[in-house]
Amino acid sequence: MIAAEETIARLDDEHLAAMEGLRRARAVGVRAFIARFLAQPFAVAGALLLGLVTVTAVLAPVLAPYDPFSLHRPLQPVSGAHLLGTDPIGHDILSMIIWGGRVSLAFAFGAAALSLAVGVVLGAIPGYFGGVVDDIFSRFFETFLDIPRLFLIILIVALLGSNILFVIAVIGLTMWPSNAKIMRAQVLTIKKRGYVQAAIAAGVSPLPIIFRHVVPNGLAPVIANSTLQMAYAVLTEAGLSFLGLGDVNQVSWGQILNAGQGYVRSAPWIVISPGLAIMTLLLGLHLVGDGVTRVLNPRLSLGRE
Amino acid sequence: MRRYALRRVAQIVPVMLFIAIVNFLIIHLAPGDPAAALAGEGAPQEFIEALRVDYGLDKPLIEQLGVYLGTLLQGDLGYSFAYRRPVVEVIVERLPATLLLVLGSQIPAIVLGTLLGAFSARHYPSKIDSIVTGVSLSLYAMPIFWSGLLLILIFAVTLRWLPASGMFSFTAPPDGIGRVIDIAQHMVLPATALFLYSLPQYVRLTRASVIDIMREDFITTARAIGYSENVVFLKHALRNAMLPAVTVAGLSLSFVFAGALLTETVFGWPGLGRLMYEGVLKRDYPILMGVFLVTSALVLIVGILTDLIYATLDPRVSYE
Repeated sequence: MIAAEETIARLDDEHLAAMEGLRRARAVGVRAFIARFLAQPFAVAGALLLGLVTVTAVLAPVLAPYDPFSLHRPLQPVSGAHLLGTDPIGHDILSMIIWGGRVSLAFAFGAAALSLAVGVVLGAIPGYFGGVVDDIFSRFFETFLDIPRLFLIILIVALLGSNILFVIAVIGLTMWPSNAKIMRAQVLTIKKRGYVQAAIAAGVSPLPIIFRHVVPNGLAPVIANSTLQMAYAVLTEAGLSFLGLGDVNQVSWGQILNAGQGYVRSAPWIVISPGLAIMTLLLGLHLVGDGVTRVLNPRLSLGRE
Repeated sequence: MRRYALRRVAQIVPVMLFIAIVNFLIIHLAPGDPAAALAGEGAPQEFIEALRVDYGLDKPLIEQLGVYLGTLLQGDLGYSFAYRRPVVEVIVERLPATLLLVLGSQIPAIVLGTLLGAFSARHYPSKIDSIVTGVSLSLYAMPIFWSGLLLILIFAVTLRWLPASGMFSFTAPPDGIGRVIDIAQHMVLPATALFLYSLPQYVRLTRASVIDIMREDFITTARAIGYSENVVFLKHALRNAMLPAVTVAGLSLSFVFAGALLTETVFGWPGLGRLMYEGVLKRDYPILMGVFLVTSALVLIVGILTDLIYATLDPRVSYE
């Protein structure tokens, strides 16, 4: 009996030591990670683009020359008063672009965060326990990944409404299977490592093991995938708004394109700037994503699929 | 191999069942009367009532699901009131335009993308490689509906070289070579938009897989034997790197269809994607559900075919 308790105490010590080592490794890891990220000029450029869009969106009330909903003479070309012209209704395009960044970023972060949370939980837990439930879950990811997502999202938004929070949730909830798939693969390898086995032997219950030991150590590739998902969410929002399925109470880049597409002949300036704005944000996200992937897997020449 | 093929084909059943159930759930989650949603906007009351009886919408949910699945199995995707025709007929009529656009853009994208990716990898690391990577990243970041609008602005509005929208002009001859030329002229811009959208995918993938393969032991061996760098590259690296490119071509069909949807909307190209857009405008829900179902089925079938081709090409693939 005493022997058993001693064993547990010893295992606990080993467990604590392992945790401490892990924490230190992680602290070094973060510093090394940042250093290696900053060593890549493309990744730094991406971070700058992303920063530019974010700062502009945050400072929208200060930077925007007009209220994006205020009306001026419609279809004005580029001028000193309206640096990017006005749209068919009479909104100042520059102000719409500046405010529109908020919607795009809300989609990028909101949808990707939701997808990350759901994907990690639904990938890690069944993957850790294995068995029939795991089989069913992984079949489900595979099935879901095969579905033409944009068509599903359009169907849902057309029938159930285009409120911004709802659409963010829809995009997040259609993206998580790829995170779950990556997380599950990570869990299967990490579970075999010594420190996890030590924690199991020490009698730590499964959920703390999963969320304190397994998930944090397997999160890196999921994070890399998340930058891709952010780009996908931005693109999907722009596409939906372009198709006329945007939230009418918000200003978004896709909506400017939707309003301007009928005026390509007479007022081409309307469609130029929102496209450039979308491209800036997407390029930033892709470059940062490539940078993160390359740091995580230096052997990789380009990064990802 | 045969068993593997059969098993892959059998996997269609649960996926399609899942998609049908998703359709069913969305209709029932929609605010208001499911019969009205199934009918689409603008349908008369008698039609809505007839649907209620046909689909057993006054019966318990599980029974309704059974009826719905039964009608789908008979190939009945519902009736579109906006078109006054069965949904299946409208979809079948639109399918060729989409397939034409997809093939017309993807074949050049696969060929050129693979060559460009391999070329870039051959010169890795160098300035040329950086330029190819930079250009393909920029293309990758362009929303397809925007590049479509730019193409219209440049080639249709400013230069007046090509028609901006549609698939035919009224003045063109109704058949023969004149009609082929007419369709081809209308196809150039939308196919270019879809080509530019897919190209970076193939470039990036081929480039990465060639660079990875150039580091493999068998390449080092081939070099050590004294084969010239060109032989090593063409005979050993490129051939092995082609496989993943082939797979992605099939597996990314859902990505290509998403691009086609937006391209067809911009250019008024009368395919499935434009049909989906018209369905959104007219609130024609049977059309939206039908297009979703049919594109899902196409994506699945092509995915399975790609897997089977891959398995035949690469003997290392296990059938278990």
